[in-house]
Amino acid sequence: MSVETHKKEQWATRIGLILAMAGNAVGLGNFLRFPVQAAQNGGGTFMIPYFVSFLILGIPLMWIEWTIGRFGGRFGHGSLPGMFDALTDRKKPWAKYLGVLGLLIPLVIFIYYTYVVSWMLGFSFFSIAGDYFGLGELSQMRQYLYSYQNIFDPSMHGGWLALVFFIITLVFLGWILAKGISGGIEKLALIGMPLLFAFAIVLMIRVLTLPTHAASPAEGLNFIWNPEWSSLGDPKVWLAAAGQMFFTLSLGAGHVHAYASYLDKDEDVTLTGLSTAATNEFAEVVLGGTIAITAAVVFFGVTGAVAIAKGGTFDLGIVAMGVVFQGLPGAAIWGQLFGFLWFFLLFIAGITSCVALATPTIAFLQEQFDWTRKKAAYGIMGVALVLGLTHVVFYNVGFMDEWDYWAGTFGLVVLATIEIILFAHVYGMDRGWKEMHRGADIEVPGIFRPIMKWVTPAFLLVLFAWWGWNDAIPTFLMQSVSNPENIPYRWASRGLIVLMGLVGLYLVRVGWRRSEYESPGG
Amino acid sequence: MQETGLTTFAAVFMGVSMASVTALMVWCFYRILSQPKPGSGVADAGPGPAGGPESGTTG
Repeated sequence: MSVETHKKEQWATRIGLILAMAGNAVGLGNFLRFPVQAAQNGGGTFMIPYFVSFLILGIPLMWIEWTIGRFGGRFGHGSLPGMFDALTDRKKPWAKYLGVLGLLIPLVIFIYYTYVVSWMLGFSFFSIAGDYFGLGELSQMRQYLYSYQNIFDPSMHGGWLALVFFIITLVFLGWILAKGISGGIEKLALIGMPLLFAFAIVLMIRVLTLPTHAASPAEGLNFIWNPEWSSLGDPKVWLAAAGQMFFTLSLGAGHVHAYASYLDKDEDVTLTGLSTAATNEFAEVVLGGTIAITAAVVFFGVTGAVAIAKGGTFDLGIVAMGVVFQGLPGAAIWGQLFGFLWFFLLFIAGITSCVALATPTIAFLQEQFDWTRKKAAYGIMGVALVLGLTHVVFYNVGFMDEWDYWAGTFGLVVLATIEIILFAHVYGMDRGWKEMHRGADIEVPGIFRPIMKWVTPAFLLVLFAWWGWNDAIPTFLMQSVSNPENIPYRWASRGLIVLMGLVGLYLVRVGWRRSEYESPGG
Repeated sequence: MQETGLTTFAAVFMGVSMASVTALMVWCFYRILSQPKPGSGVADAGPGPAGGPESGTTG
């Protein structure tokens, strides 16, 4: 790696670091996925497995990822291939290749997630311009969204529109990332996160003071929080809670490590890591749990909200909310304004996650190939544009669903399992515990030691076993795909991920050979 | 669901959940803001990506 490339990269302030990490974690999942998961999995009782998952999955993995990241940074590594290599004392040649998952997963997610985030920018613009006002039925609003997503359907939008907002978002991201850790990412967090919380609080107050339409706001809260005690015995509810924990804390992808690598070797990770997790939970449980579903119940009643929630997060976050804003008193002004606040809130939440997702690949190119940050940032945006075009063109045949499942769901659990085994059983729990407490502001309770060593890995292996027993074969063979004509496209989508993984393995091989050539004694 | 007000159980689950995460966040930030560590701020970063490798690289 080039010392020159990295030596000025650092977080300027601790609060900036925490907000950047929280911005990484707070994303669309907090505001759209969490309330749907809660409502579909037992309401208030969902919070019991949710908090258990927070304690035995979320917090331990968060501390471990921060520790691995800071540890790798000590040796000049900002991405997982180098970190895993260092974690195994450079005695296990395979470790760096396993670390390719820490490049592949965040890059794959970055590409399709950025495309989705660009929709939010588009709908912010459509809201303030009042473009969809007048489409007051769910079916009309759904057609408005589908026409935007499907470039071959010009009924509501030009086919080029989604691409334009995608390019604008990529250019903005490239600009932020090129400015570096403190000059770009940290400044974005220092501006974006307070703005996000302010927008969310304004929207929460507006939703809770809505006049009764089909139902009252209290019924909306009942819908999310009313307990169903029988759900506690259902394994699916526990798995849903565990899955939500991965999504919401951005675990198992490699970008928490990348951010933590820019810490000093004696800088605290225990209190800072816990702070980012707590900030994310506040955004999810207090703000995310109050806005979208509650508004949907108020306007469409419980039955209507159930149907919307079953349609997925975009039906809730875009279609239903689009109709809600049109039904607000004084919609011509306030509806457009609140619509803008909502979609721009989601845009900010998404964009602060996007910059984190791109960071491991940028760090890898800097450390292994001596690329400048600017070159790496714009290079990644170029790759994202080319590969992202597949999602722009083939969205309606399920191209994105494959990436979301294999990288954004399955891949997270795979990488988390690998990293915790490496940390607790290869690097060793004694050394790991000591490393975690280097410069710590709070001592991690001793109970977390056996949790990290045994309980969390066991929990993850149970997740795998359950998946293997119930879902592996049907999912792999795409038995639930309703339209057989889409299957070849979905295989192509999977093939592209495999190809990206192979390129990643090749780059690690070349990068390591290059390092060995440059410093044969290294 | 016939109620028009918040049911007791929903209120309890919501209140406890929201209070828990809010208290955790407030406690964390209180600890951070009340315990500054002079001289150990991130801006003082030494080795690592912030300051170059401590030893070895990838070899």
